[in-house]
Amino acid sequence: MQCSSVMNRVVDWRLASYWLALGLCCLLPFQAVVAEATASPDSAESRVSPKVLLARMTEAVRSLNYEGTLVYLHQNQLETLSLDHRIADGQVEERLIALSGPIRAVASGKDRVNCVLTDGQPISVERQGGRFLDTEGIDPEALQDHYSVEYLGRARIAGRETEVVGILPRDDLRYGYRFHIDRETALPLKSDLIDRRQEPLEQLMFTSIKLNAPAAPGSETPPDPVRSVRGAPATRPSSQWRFEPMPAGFELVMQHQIDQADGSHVEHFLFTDRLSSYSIYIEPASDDGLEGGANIGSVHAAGRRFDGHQITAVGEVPLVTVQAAIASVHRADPPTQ
Amino acid sequence: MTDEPRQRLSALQDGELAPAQVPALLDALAADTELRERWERYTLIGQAIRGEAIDPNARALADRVRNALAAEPTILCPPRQKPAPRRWTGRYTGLALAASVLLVAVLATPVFVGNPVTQTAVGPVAARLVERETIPLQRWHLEHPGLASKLDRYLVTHQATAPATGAKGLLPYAMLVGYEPGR
Repeated sequence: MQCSSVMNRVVDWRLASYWLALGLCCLLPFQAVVAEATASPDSAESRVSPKVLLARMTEAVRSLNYEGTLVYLHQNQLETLSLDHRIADGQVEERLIALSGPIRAVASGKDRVNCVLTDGQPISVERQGGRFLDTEGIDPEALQDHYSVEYLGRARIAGRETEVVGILPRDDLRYGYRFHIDRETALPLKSDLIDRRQEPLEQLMFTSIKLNAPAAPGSETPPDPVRSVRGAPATRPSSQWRFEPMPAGFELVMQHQIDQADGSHVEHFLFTDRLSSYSIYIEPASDDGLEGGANIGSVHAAGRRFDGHQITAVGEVPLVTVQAAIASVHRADPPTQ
Repeated sequence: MTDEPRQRLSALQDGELAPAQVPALLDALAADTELRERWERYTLIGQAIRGEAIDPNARALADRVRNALAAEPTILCPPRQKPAPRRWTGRYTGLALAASVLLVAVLATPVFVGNPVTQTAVGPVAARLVERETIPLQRWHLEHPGLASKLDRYLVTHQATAPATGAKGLLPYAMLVGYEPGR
């Protein structure tokens, strides 16, 4: 009798468990549906569209005033930087200062970029055609051949919720990016430079950020129309130099001549795959030309002498890319003997 | 210090220490700072000989684990109740238990379903960066200031004309400013 009561209890318990497990299974899909529905429509929309997120980010960088502290991590070294970013007369003005070590700073204005670095003279460069900000933003379709643009999830940066978008390189000739885009302001709170395996090479992250009010209410004038280099069609070199074969995907989009202080000229050619880019500089050979490779972090340079000229390639691309770039430089009409 | 712990340490490092001797040695390690330092040195020597990457962060690992544990909330676990005589209650305990599991499942699911955080995307800022094997970390060629200065100028010119720098954020400029020379 006692035994049968125990048996009954066991059977009841099992029965109840089965029913509850069954109920649980039935309820779960509803929960998922409810959870999807309760997420704000805005986030649901932006989650599926990295293009929208990138467009918002570009617009935010172009239109917002902010300042903050950044950490910059590269090869297990950490630097603290201070940033001031403001819009004046429709143009972005930025100032970036290293807070640790010797004073190093970059300031960019409407038409000049000024640098104070530790080695050598201060550098002041006039903008040529391009600009800090490309108003077109990033068009994932245009990058498809060499990158895949993907939504990678959410993360929390500087105490704020961000959406993560990756621009992932498809080969080893270029780097990609991973942006952590603030859900509220759309500013990139963290930017990683990544390689093909999505390993971070360099990371830049806000530890604190403060949004500032626009400088003046009347400063909503549209920015001056500036020729966008990224949208520029591929051009043919007008000088005697030719660059075939170029590293896959890169095209010549701009060329101009830089007059140096000592009266000599440097020819400057800019190549891009619509996201990554490198420049080739060609000048009369001198003693201080670069032979072989050099780098600052993930910025690589490669140089060689050729036919009485110094050829130097510089860009935020892997070493193989700049090496391939200088290897293919040749003259249009080789002088016949 | 006698030679014996050192030899055992070396044997442990090589994976040749008898399992029975491991606990005693670990206890000795926990108690003896000098022995721990010796362990670190042996590890470094081994890594250097094998040509492995040496991660300076590994040194802080124990502290990080300790701090993380200290920050963990203490789970207050009430002492187990003596089992009450099971009469009619026993029959419904299972039901109640299952019901609460269901409740928890129902309440907790939105958290999991609503926030699909991709771990790979989050990546801690201190994630191990890719080692560059061929080129040492430095600002251009420091031994040739003239060349370094020229490359700086070329780089700034390139950045000023290069496309999509706005979309890339400040990374290109952080590269210029963020490298302290001689490191």
